Amino acid sequence: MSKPHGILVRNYDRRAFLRQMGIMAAAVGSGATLLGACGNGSNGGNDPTTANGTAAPAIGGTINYHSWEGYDLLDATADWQQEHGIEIRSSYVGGHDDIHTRVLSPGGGDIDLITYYHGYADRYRELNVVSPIDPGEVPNLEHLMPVFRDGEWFRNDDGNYVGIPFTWGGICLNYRTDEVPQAPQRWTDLLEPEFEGRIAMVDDLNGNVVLAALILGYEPERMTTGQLQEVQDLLIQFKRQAVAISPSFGDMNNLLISGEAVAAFMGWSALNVWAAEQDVELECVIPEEGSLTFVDAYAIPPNAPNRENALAFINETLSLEVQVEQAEYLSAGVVREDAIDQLPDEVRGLYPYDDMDSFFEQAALYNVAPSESDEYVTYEDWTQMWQAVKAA
Amino acid sequence: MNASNRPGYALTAPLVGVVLLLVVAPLAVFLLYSVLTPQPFSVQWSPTFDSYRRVAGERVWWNLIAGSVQVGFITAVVSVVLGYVLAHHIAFHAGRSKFLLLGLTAISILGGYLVRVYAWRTILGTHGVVNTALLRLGLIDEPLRWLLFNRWAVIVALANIFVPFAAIVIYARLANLQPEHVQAARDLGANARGAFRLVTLPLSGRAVFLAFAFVFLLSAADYVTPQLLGGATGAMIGVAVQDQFQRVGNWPLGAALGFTIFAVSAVCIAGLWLVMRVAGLLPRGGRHA
Amino acid sequence: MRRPGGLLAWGLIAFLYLPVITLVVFAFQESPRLGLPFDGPSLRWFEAIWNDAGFRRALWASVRIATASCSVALVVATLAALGLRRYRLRYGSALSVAAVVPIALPGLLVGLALLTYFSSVGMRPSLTTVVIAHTIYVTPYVLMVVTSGLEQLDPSIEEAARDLGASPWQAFWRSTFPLLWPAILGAAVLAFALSFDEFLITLFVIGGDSTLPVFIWSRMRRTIDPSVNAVATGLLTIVITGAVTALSLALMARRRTGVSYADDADSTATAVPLAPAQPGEPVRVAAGVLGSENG
Repeated sequence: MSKPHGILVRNYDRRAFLRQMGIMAAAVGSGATLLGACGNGSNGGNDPTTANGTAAPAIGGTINYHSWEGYDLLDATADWQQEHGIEIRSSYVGGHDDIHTRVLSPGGGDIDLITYYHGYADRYRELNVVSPIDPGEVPNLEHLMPVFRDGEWFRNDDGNYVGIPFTWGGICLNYRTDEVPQAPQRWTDLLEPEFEGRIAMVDDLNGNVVLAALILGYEPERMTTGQLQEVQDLLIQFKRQAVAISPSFGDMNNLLISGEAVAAFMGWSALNVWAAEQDVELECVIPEEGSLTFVDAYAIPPNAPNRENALAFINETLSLEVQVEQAEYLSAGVVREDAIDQLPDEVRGLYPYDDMDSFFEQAALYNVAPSESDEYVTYEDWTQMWQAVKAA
Repeated sequence: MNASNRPGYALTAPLVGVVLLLVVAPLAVFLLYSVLTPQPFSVQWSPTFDSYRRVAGERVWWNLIAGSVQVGFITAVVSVVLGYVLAHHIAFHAGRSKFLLLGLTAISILGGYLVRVYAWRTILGTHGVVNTALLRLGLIDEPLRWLLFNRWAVIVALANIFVPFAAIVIYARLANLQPEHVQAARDLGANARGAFRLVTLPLSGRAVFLAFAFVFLLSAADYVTPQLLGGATGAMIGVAVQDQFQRVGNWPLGAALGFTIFAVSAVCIAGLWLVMRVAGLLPRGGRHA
Repeated sequence: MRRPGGLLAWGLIAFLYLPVITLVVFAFQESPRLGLPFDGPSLRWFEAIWNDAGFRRALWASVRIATASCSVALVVATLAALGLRRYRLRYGSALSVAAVVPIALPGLLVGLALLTYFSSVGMRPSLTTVVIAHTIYVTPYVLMVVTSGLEQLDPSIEEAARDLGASPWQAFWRSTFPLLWPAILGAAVLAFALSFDEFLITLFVIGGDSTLPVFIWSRMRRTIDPSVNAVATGLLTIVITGAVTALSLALMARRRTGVSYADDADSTATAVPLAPAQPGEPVRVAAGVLGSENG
């Protein structure tokens, strides 16, 4: 039983970090409304940092997006969409599984754009859910920090990409500042009696399993059957404290807004922004047991009907303006070096930009369980286990 | 084939085609899939009883099935009882408001499904209609949290949808009853309650059974209401079946689970039929009334 | 005993309409919160969804699907109703039972059966598969409505017309149809409304498109605000209008034929027997009907 590779923040003063997260939550909350009020400042065509010459096949029409709410960056790319005559049609998922299951299901051939997180990279290659992208098709790739541009997760040996990283961040514990007087210090604090029937969970198999494994001190991608059983028991304990297992982050947000739930197990900082729109203040903290970091990438399924539109969109999200905006909107990290200085202080202070390489060496970047294995539990075992948790 | 009946066969041919191709065939395929080998979001054409073995052996499914049966049963009982009350009033006591009541009942059958279930969140939530009313009236100090996100919320919502249906089915029967029978019972000395128990109820037994069976089957297999209102404790088998098809991708297991809940429901309904027959609520013989 | 029963009955009606009323009231909420206190009324959410392209697409898809499935069901079921009613067929009762199966089974099973079936024949989920699904869902209702409409009519009228030399089509068109059309129209409107509202089966056979209920379902998974209620109000308006229209047609036919008239949702059949026809009457009526063609 080895200790996890590292928690989200290593060489950082934890209290300072938590404080910064707190400030950030409030600031982003108001920042989002300011952003909305002032209108979108980006001006796609004239932006000098947007790549000129996207090997211009004519684009225009629709992009069918299927993934997390918020990652379609509708507001940040609104001007760009209008300029190029593009309409993004989005369908949102509740769990990471929903992404590839939709693409794989009959009738899934209509999806142009998905996202996935690094832990699924091998699995998505296996399942043939993503298609290779030549770096030349996304010129803005050259602006990415080396750790993202040259990282192994999304790059094949032949230099093609199966995913274009555009954001990253960490899972955290959302809670309502008005109902929970003191920020929970540990994930297991949520098992206390005062949280009975008051916590929210989301129906994302992967995040829940990895988080439970972390709490127990196991390595998620290398667990034995016995360890998986412990994970199941722990998750069932959390479920007993839960109002419901929400089908999506949006629904989890609804529970927090209406007050049915006061804290979230496996939350996301984007919720702070969404809740602020309805005058509910949330903070998102990383408890002591740590959390998981995710690097998310855009990808295009094979046989996507609107591939060119999707590529152009991806390129646009790597532009300077959109990178800065998505970081503020999602309380996430940026993948471009020149975007770091443009970030407001609170958002920049979220992540250790001064030493990205060593951070990512040590960060809690987990892969999902293997598809086949003799000694460890497989992804199929995870899936069944999660069904059992939901039915408990 | 009798020549004079030939036009009849021609007229019904399209329906026969629809039924065979689009009702019988899909159900047959569905049954077939439950004994095939799973492949992600598809099947391999090699038969196996593995899925049924899993259903039989894994406790997690039977917990869900038990919960679903419970919801189905309680919903059916509530719907039939309340439906009977409504139908009885409309049939025998309504007077001038008869058609208004009937019309309102009929319309509420057709008045939406998804949106009605969703509305219960606003009714039963912490800032919802019920809690606010109780708080305002001073009957409680804090909002009741147990109204929503559990099995009871699911039952309330489903009953709300099925009461009108039960009412109409039972009304149709009550309206066809000859009043002479009840009159005869009264003449022989029975009071109102006795006449009801001895005459009206048995004669309407078939309708009661029909309504019960329908509501039970549809409630037990519902998969939307538990997702919206069931919370962490109100899980039902329908959601697991949906998950197998749309998330996990194990279609044979999903099909096996689907057939299992149908079979379990059928057994329960058959059990009810026996009970009613023994209790004399399903009189033998032709329809006298 | 009359008064408390009445209270209970009206109380039940109030219970039945509580969700609908709540839904509609909150569609006019001003703030995004879906809880009390009510701070309306405001039309902002109706405006918001009307401007939502996804909503308009879903609405249009629902209209097309309802029209298509309703049309097919109408033809198939009306023909079958006539065939079952007028002729003795060997598979008559089996067919009647089998035709009702799609609404007797839970939507979960019907939807999944269709999903596996389409998959096995290589048909991908799309609006077409939804039309097929809605057709088999709606056909039993149409069948029941038209059948009960036929049951109220005196078959000897059409027989008399046949005896006088009319072809089967003429006999139907001239003598039966004028009395039957409210039932047929009522069935059509009912079918349209039912298709609009159908959700449990649709969710499994639809691909990336949305019908109106599917649109509402995906909206429910986001941070909700009264725009969901606004869409729901729109859906309810369409569905309830359809239901009321169908019922009114039932009542209208009742008055026209002078006998009680039943449709599936409103079995108002009472114990009043049909007035016995005078011996010569069917001939007279039929002759009059045929005579109008000549004169």
